[in-house]
Formats: sequence, C-alpha cells, structure tokens
Amino acid sequence: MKAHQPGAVPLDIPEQIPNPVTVPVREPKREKPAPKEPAKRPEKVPA
Amino acid sequence: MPYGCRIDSLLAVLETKCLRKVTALRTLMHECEFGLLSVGLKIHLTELSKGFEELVMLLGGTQRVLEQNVYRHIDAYACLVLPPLANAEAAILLLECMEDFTETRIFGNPLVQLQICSPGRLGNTGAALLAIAFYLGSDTLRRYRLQDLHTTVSGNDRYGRGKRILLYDAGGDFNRTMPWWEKRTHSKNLLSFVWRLMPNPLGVRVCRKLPFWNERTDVLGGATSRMDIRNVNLAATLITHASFQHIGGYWLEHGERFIEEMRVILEEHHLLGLLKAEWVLTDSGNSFRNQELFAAMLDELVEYAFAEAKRIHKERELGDTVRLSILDEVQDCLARFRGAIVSRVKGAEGGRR
Repeated sequence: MKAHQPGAVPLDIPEQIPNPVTVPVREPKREKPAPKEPAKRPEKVPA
Repeated sequence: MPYGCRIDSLLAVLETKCLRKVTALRTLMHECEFGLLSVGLKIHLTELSKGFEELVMLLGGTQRVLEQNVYRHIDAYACLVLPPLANAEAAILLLECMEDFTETRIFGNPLVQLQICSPGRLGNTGAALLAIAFYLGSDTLRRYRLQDLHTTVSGNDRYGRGKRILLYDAGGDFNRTMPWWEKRTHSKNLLSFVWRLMPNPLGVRVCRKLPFWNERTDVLGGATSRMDIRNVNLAATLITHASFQHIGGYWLEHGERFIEEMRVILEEHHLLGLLKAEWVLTDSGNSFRNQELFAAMLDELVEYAFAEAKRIHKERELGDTVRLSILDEVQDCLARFRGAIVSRVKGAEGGRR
C-alpha cells in the first residue's frame, strides 16, 4: 500500500551528516538463550 | 489524539514473532528509570510496508488504527500513535519489536519518522533548549528546511502549530498513570512523620500519576535514532522538573543547573539570541513574522553546527589538534547530567544495602 496522495516523497531532510563528536554506542547484542539442559531424571533406586 | 491501539493488543500481536523481546518489554515498560519521564511515540509513515500493513490489519485495520487521526507529517501516508511507556529503554525495545515484526527498519529511516512525546508543555525557553539539546546532541546533524517540519496542523486555524521541531499536544488521549518522582517534603502532618521513619536515602516520593492533565511537548526531528530518544527523554525530564517548580519534581536542582549550563554554552558561542524565536506555538497560532524569525534562527543553528562539523573534519584530516566545539560541549553536558542522575540513584541504592 503506497501513500495515497500523489507525489508523496520520503520525509527526506536534504542533507544529513554524522555528528563528528558522537561516540557511536554499540547496542549490546542480545544473547541467545542458553540451550536448555535436559531434564534430569531421578536415578532409579536399586530395588 | 487518540492512540492507534492499546498496548496489550499491540504486544499480543508482536509476541507472535518476537516472544522473548515482548516478554522482556512487559516487565520493563512499567519501570521508572531513574525518575526520568515517560515516553510516547508517533510513527509517521510515508508508505505502509507489507509488514506494517499486516500489523495494522491485526490491530483492527487502517480505519481504526490510522485514519482516526487527521494529524501526520504532510508528506506521510499516516501517523501511528503508540501508547506511552514508562521509560525510554522500553520505548526503544517496543520499536525494536516492531522492526522485527514488520521487517522494516525504523531507526534512522527517512521513510519512517518518529515523534518523541514527553509529558508537560514547556514554555518557550524550555522548548528552545530541548530542541537545541536534541539537535546538537544527536548522532546526526540535519540541514532542515521548514518544509521538513510541515504537518497537517501547521496551518490549521484550530491548532496552529506552525512548522516547528517542537509541538504541543492538541488535547486528546493522555495516559496520566505513569510514574513521577517528587521530592519528599517534610511537612508536620502524621503521614509525613511516618514516611520519615521509612528508609528512603534518595528522599523521593514516587507518585503513580503524572502532575499533568493532558499536556505534552513533542519533538519532530526527522529520521530518529536510539540516542535521540534517550537524549530527548533526559533533556525533557530535566527541563520539565525545573520549569514546573510548584509541583516539586525530584530533579529540580539538576534541571536548573542543566538549563544554566546550556545557556552558558549558547552564550559562549554567541547563540543565546536563538532563544528569542518562538520555538513552539500555542493555540494562538503563528504569524508570518514569527515563522520567518524562527526559520532564520533555525538556519543560524544549523549553519553553525555544520560549520563546526566541517572544521572538526578538516582539523582531523590535517592532523591538527581538534579544538572543542559546541557539539562536544552539548554532548558532554548531556552525558554528565545522565551520569549524575544515574550515580545519585545507584549510590543511594548501594547505601541502602
């Protein structure tokens, strides 16, 4: 579905440059969940 | 403006594709982070990607989700109004969930522009300082034209918000049930006496409701980053707590110092005159003279920032010592105040253990 008004353009500011003094913040990588340990079964009590 | 959807409906849809993030968000979205303000978001969309289309359909269809609002950027197809969340990190995580669901980049995408909403209507000086802190503190320097700030209510007789980076609310939905940090006062009543006996090294009273009925100040700045959301949230909190002294905001003194430091920075760079322009408009509307004056002031700020950026690049290129710029000073100011707030809260928490 496109913009319904004719001539719609990106909301584009003509010139954008990186701020030279900004220290890029590295987004912490979201860790994958640790693999689930197999459920422990109670050892059989010797009869 | 009515919200496009309820937060529980939105999360129920999003968790079908990103369960882990949504689970984390459900906990995070109610937490008050260091007493900073809650964050609302509006997403101006130039087009509906397939992913957004699917999201909108699952939330009730375009008519219900998007078309109930007349307000949007003039070049946008629609504006999706999200319910506010208690902190900036939750707002960022919500957008990440939406990115995952729609497979559409939201941060830094000129086709998807964000409007960051903070509770409380700042006066003109506060609004000017918020806009300047957002602009110079951002990871992107933008060369604005007034047209970039044109919305469907810019020339509206009823709302008359003009073409501005900052916009006030137009009434409508406002969720007051958000945390607000107030300084604990020592009145002589019995309740206060009981309170004083309870351990509270921060001296904060956490209120469940905001001290505003439905007032907001929003930043409409173009393609937006995570850093922009964090900076706007920090600066808006400090300025709001300092501006509404009668409601006893916890960060009042920090806010006053922040305003003072921002003024000093502007003065040192001969930019204090920028505060004279009308950075935000009330319902009284916008005169041609005001618009022209604002455009000239915005232009001055933008040109100054770009000239500083150019100088820094040149000095780096030539291996010269890079002299401090207004960009460094504003970045440093924001970082120091964030550090002060965090260390005060964490210090108090550490002392309590």
